[in-house]
Amino acid sequence: MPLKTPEQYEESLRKMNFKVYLMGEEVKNVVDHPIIRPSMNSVKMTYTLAQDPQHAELMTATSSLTGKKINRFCHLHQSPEDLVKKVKMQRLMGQKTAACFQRCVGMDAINAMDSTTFEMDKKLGTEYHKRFRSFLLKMQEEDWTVDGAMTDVKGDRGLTPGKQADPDLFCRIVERREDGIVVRGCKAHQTGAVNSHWVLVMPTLTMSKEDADFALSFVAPADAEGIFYILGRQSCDTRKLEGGQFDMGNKEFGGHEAMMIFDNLFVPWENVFMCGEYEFSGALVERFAGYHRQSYGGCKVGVGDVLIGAAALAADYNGANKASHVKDKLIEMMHLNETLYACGIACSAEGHKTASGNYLIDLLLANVCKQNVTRFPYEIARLAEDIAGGLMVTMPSEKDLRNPVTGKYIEKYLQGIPSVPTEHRMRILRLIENITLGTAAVGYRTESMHGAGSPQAQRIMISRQGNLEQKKALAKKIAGIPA
Amino acid sequence: MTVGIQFCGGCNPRIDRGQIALELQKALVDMGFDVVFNSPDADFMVFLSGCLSGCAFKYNPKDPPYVTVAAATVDGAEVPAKRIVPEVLMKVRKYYERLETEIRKEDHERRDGAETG
Repeated sequence: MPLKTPEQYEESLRKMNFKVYLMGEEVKNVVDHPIIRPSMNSVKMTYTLAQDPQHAELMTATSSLTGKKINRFCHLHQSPEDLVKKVKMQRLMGQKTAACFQRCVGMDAINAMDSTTFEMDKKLGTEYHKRFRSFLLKMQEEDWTVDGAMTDVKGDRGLTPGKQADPDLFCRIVERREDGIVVRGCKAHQTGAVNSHWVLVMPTLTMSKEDADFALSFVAPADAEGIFYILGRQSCDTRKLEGGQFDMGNKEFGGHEAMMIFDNLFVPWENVFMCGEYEFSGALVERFAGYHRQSYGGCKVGVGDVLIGAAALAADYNGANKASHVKDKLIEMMHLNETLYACGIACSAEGHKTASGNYLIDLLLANVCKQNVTRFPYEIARLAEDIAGGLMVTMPSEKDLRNPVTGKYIEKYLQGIPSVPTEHRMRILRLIENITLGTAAVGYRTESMHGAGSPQAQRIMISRQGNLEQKKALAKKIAGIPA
Repeated sequence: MTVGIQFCGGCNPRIDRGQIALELQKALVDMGFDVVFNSPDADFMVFLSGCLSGCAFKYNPKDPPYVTVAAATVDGAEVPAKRIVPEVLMKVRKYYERLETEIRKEDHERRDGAETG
């Protein structure tokens, strides 16, 4: 069953036994919880679109392992063309959900794991690549959503993992047994964790010899005994509990993040892909981060498409669409959005083959892409708020619109151009609010800043990859300075 | 004759690919052709791309006969959006007529050959 239907995906989650806490209570029904459900719908869309002939070209791929048609989210990229299609798929998904659809982290993790484990086996004589490929075969066959888990909570940022007051602040091996390892620690910001079938854990940074016990990678069922989740809050999240139609801005789709806690989790050896080989931790982190920085050149652009459309509609509904400054702001938003896309496409087109056979993006361009993503969505959001006007944050609730006493006054006084119902104007303003400072702002703004690494992480990579010495040599030659 | 309609992935559509495909399918079936989607097993292909990148053809190249639609262009020539379906149908029809003429000519030649032999 290499392609699950959306219904089969939802059903498969219902069969899982997640341990999840949200707002101080254990969640008994994760799939139908009104705060979590929209995020499940976003992941479900990755299954829906894969069934649609109009999107199959992007949403599916031919497995390099089996030759079967699989979901692209389970695919090892086999060419620069595959890398380009990945970005286009992510833009499409962003357009269809206006939210974080969560499944990219797993795709980026498997692609980073494939080349890294291959190189580990070649150098160290280990069997991690074989184990990983065996897992990947099952992932493709079952069309699993896999959550890539990298970011440790990190405690005192001035100290290395082994020097922390509490060693569990970085995920670590607490016991090596004959049949496997025992793991303790916490991964933060885990996007889509409770919409996933499995988790793929990676080290959070380059480890040294002293910190070899933190150089750790493995997979585990997302509902394994020894894993539990504490879901993060999102701005305006409880609007989902109010039961209306549009105050949440995006009723159908959303994202979620969670603390993923390993409380003495047992992992059998067959699911362990790195266990102390600290010298490969840097390559794994760099590759995963690179793929994920490429991803943002697609997903954020898709959400940006929706936000730009919403801002343009707000201008239409306000009767301001002919004002030259409004037109100019919309042009600027499109320029910024397409610049992000251009970076995503560029780092993909310049991708190269790894020793294991899959393709890796151009790391310099992927980091430039993400560095722009830490800035441009903020400017796009600022311009959207500018065009929307202050009513976006001052207008009454949907319940007031439905109230027989207040509703008629809201209809009368919050009308824009007469041909558009007041409710439509309110709906589009709520959508802008949702993306710029509501639940979706988690994905569109702060995740743009810190997701896939904070801005300084990209600047370090740009510094490493920027080939400054060659630039100096060029300048010397032109200026007539001897080499 | 079987006509294949190959979609691009649809990340940046400037035209309604779904609607165009539906209209094409209906008209082609009315003309007596079979229609398949996203399959190269066809006698004539319609590559239907939402924008000028033309990914439907780019990622599934095939030898002629085919017609490419990319945004509001048919085989590279700009056409008004509402003319896309008639233009494609005209190209399919022309190909089919040429095919029929060739088959008829081959039949005649075979028959003539048999008579003289």
